[in-house]
Amino acid sequence: MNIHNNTELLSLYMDGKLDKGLAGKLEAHMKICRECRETFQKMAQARCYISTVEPVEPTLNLEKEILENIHSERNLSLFPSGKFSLALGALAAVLFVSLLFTGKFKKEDIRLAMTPEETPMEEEYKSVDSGATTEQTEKGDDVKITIDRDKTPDAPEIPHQEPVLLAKSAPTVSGKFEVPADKASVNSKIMAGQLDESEMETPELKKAEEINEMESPVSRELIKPPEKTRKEKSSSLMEIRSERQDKPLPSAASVGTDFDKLPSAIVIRDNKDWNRIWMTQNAAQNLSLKLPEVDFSRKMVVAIPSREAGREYSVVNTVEEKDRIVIQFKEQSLQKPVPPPYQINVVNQKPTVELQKLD
Amino acid sequence: MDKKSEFQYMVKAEMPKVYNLAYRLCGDFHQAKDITQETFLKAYQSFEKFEGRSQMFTYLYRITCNVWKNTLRKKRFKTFTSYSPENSSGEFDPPARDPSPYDEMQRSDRCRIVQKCLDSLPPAEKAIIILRDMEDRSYEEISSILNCRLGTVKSRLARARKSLADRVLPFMEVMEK
Repeated sequence: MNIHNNTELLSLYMDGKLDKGLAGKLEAHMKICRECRETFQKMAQARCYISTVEPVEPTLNLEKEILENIHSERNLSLFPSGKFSLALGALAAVLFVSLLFTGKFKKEDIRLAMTPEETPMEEEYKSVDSGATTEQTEKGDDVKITIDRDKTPDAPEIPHQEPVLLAKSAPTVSGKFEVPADKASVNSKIMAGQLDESEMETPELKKAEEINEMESPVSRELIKPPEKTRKEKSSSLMEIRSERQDKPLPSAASVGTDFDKLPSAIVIRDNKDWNRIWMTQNAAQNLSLKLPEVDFSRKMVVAIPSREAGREYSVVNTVEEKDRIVIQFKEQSLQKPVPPPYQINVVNQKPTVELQKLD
Repeated sequence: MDKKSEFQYMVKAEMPKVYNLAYRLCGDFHQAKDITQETFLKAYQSFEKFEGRSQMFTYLYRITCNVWKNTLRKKRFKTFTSYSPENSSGEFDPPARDPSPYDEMQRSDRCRIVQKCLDSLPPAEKAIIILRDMEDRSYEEISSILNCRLGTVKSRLARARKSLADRVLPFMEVMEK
């Protein structure tokens, strides 16, 4: 077995899963092979970081919600468990076959809605409750079976998701973050996108660029605030956008996943978070840009990564609706020159923010 | 103890672990909550059939991973709401943390960096490294949870550890400077 550069062996060794003989050989090899020794140390160090991540705790209500959901599901289940379900199934099969033989069933009438999630929004037949009444009517050659959940006394509400309806564009004012002249260091150019080719290859820049590639530490693990605390005011919408520069930057290592996804937007609703994200970005890039003022009593900031996972995003428009802001963006494969890390959109306060991809 | 009480007991005992796993897999509190709910719903639907041949957490973790994989396939549309603890009703609150300024910020930033680097791994590798290095599950348990061979677990884990090291360490070096 090849021991050199064998990460699987290193990984097994780390877990103490190698037999003594092989472990001994590997240890002896690592004493003389710097490359393997460093790889092992890196893997062990990364593992150490991972294992120190503290577990997250669920919200207080989650257990209750789960049990309530299960209770609702039990009420909504079409075929309850046990012998009764067999009897009901058999009855349905007999009814179905008899209708087929009488030629009164049209194929397009056969639709069943098992759960609220699977129910199409314009469902002709309502979701089914185990105790719900059923109606059967005949019109011409069609047979329509309607199962009416609403007739059950304690039928739970089915969550209804509104489709995204685009309103006309809200007024926007554009601006950009300015880099102070006295801080025109190499790092400041990262943010402004004004780096010369010769300056691009330093390790510090690569690291800073990689930091850009990651989202800011401000959390986007997000909380839906109660609607009553959100004042919806009709003031004009202001957009601040970091302008894309002409000079190229080295593209960061792709940290993208291999499935289709939307950019990781960050929503900031208060000065504390705004200050924090700004500070962190400055610190990561060794900058000291002044914090742009935002009136968080009326506005919020939505930051969309300019590039992420090998893709480039550009915000085209923000659409303001009654209870949401829809941010429309375009996507293309990452090309040079690389734009600044985030496109900042200061918009009116709404409980929900949606991203909408335009073709 | 009847099945209903047994299930309720299981929810109480296992839910925090399931939620934590879901969060590590998806990296989002809201989605983790949805995955947890769906996991228990599915577990309930097949609870009658559970014969206890595998441990309960293996059974639940397997469902959690499957639900997560399904969300990866389905997820093409995201809705964001904001982080705003002061105005929160508490219902969607992430766990309370002591608001000590700098150390706390660094610690939570480190967690986020690790999470972000985890998110950048291919899903199969990500699941394995979470189960092994965060959840401390044995190779055999991981094989059972992810329904793959032991050899696959070993090779993917090695690959995942190497990839993660390559991604995490540069950020940590920058942070610690």
